[in-house]
Amino acid sequence: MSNLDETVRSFLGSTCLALDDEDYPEFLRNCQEDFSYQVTAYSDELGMDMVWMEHDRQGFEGLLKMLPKHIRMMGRFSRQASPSKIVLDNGNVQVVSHLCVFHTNLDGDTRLLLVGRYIDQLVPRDGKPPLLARRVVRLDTRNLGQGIHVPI
Amino acid sequence: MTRPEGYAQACVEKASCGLREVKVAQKLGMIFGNLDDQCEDFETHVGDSMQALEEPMGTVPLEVFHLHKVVMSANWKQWQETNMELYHEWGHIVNRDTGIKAEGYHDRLWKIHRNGHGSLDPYRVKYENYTGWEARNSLELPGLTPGEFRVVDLFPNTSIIIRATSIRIDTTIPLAPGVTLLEQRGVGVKGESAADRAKRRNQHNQLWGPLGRNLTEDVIFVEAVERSNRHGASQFGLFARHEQLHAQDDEIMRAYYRTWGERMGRSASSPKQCTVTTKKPSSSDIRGEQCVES
Repeated sequence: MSNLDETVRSFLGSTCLALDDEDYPEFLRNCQEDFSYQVTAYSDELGMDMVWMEHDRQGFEGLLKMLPKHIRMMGRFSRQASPSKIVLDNGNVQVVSHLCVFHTNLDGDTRLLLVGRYIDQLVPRDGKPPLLARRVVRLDTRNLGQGIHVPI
Repeated sequence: MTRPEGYAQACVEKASCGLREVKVAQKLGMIFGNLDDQCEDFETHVGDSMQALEEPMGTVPLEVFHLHKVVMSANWKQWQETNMELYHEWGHIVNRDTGIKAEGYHDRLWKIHRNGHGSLDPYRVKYENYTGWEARNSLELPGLTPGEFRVVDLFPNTSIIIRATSIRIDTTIPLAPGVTLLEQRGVGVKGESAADRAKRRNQHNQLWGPLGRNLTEDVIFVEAVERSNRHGASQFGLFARHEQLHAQDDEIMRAYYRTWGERMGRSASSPKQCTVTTKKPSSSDIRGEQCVES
């Protein structure tokens, strides 16, 4: 395993843990100032791509700020991201990861909520972990149950 | 049907095995079907209940840009309830901030139409009251003013909601007792620029869609009501608020269930007994339970 592979794997793991723990300040510390976030899915019924969420950093932070005021699905999410393709591109790193998200409710019942991919653009830094410049969550699953307030 | 003569002895005929014709009607780009061959003409049936939709949905080409499905643990009518009774809006932080506090929210009047349909006077939603959101003062659909909200509820399972720039069409389909498929479609202007579509879509997604701020809460509410109804904590829904047809008046719910009662041959307040005589219940309606006609 190369240093780049190891760096990406560690970065993905730590950002998943931050999201699982709803430690959003920690997640945002791993994001660039011009970070952007998008959730997409392809509709077989409509024959077109759908965008289900799209935010720049300001919008993303606003979403996080208001989370405590919403009535939300109870329990915990567990994000399993496995980097499958890592490509150096003009000094940035494109990472495509297989993604599964599990949900465990307050009774301790766990179910698979969704599968998809993270398509990330990382900016390497000398001697430091990279920063996340852009994340596209590409969903295969289109029935998300009750729905989800938190970023995937 | 290959070699149809082979079925002759059993009196099986090709003409009786295919799909049968059903009545359909098209209005404002939507197609409505009715399996009842004796049903009244669609335009007569809906009357003027869809009038508020005619300009926004009938004057520019529209396109469905969003579709998602939710399988809910709830009766199919309970989703329709959430699109009729507005009292539940107290549960949404978005609606408390942008709607209930907004001028004119409580002044709107319901129009109760024949056959259980309903529509509500419009008002201006103050989207800018929710932290991080902006007012919806551009890209309004035809006939709408900035931030304008309109809703039309069609008996039994369809709601059309307009929030200034986008349209949501809800339909519910019962899959089994206590299990309902909800389909939500987001509609915008066909052929618009990519930038306009992105803005319209993102405003749609603020509240709606599986990652929207309201949709998830609505499903949580509906499933919680279902659990409390089914397990005895709250045996009845209480549709008893009378406020001169103002926004949170329950008359639209009562009208809905009066129509349901007429069609089912039983009262919604006592569904295990057939007390309504406007339609003679069939044996399949009664399902083995005692029927006491009054």
